[in-house]
Amino acid sequence: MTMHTGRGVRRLAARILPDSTVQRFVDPAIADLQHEHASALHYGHPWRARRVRLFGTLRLLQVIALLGVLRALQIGMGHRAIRPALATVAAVMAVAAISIGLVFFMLVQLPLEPWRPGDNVRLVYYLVPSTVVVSIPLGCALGAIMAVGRRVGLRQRLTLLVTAAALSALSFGLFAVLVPTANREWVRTLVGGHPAAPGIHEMPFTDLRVWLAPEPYRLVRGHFIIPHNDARAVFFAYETRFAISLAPLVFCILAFSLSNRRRALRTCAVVCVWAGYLLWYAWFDEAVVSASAVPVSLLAWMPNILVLTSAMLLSTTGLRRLA
Amino acid sequence: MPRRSTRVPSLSPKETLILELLCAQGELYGLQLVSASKRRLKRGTVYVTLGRMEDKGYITSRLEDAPPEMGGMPRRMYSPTPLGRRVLDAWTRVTAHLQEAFAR
Repeated sequence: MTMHTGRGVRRLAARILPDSTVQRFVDPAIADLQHEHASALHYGHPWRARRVRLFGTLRLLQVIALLGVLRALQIGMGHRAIRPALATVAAVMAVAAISIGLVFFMLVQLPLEPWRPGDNVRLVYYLVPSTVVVSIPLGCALGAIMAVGRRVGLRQRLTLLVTAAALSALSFGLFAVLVPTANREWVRTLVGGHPAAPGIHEMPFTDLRVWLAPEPYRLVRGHFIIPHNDARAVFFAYETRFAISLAPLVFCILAFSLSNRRRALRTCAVVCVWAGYLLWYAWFDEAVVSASAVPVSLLAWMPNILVLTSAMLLSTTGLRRLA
Repeated sequence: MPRRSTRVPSLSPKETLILELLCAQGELYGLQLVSASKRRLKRGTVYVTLGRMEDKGYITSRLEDAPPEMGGMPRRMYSPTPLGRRVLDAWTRVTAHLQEAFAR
């Protein structure tokens, strides 16, 4: 029995990782696991042996997953198309974030209170998280377009998908905590540094969930919040944060589906889709969501659904053409 | 004349712990290191750390056949190299010196 402990995991590791890595990192772990398992059996502890086998196998899988991801990234990074792609992601995100920030800053109304020294700098600073979140999907898609062509293999695509997933996780983190906090400080700066009751966009996820709970009033961060007059608007804001967080991954998939088209066409398509995203979420403000009869979840997720459906259709057409 | 490397050897806290254990107890295998470290080393990451230390030349390893009554794959035993011992010695002295200097 001990001879077989970890053998399945080793076969799995041998499929994913090179021999040298398996021999250096996986084999010693399996040998130790087998020894521990055999010792437990030898001293008459069958349940301990089972436990050792179960948890040892789980830890082995953890090691293999870690080494596998590192290898995928290493191979992907070694491909000549990936580095310019990641540089494009960073550059596009920076340019888009700065542009959006500038436009928003120019459109913003003057503060109600007297302007204090340093307020300009503070407002720009608090604007950064929101603009970064909005620019991530575009950067992700254009970076993928730079890298993805007909000759790019599965591993490189996997590298881009892992990067997109990481950017999605980053967006979610920003949306969960940093963006609402920055928005709250932004409003506070606009009203001359006085504390202001937080609105939908100034509340982190936990507070929004409290707001959605059916109670007469709530105490959120020291403020008594009366129930929002429209639960649909709150729910829309809540769902939208999840939907936009997933957008980098969705845009990356869209870029993959366009890989058979000319680069100019792909870039144009992605920029248009991104502009559509921005317009969609800008158009559906609280008043429009309240007036609409469409389910809120559908409104929040519609751009992602449309883009994923289009990507699927484009992939199918591309495959047919290749066939 | 061969160029001497100007890179200063460094030790992370985990590497320091592994070298201390290996210098004190001689040859050990991965799980023995984990249990001797009193849970400061994790089973999921110890082999990767050991591999990195082997690359740096701080430790060396050899395969040892499993006892016949137990069976299984050969186990990898790790031991410190002279370079590893020197680096640990120097590192310990530097750390003690820094602690002494900043305790004043």
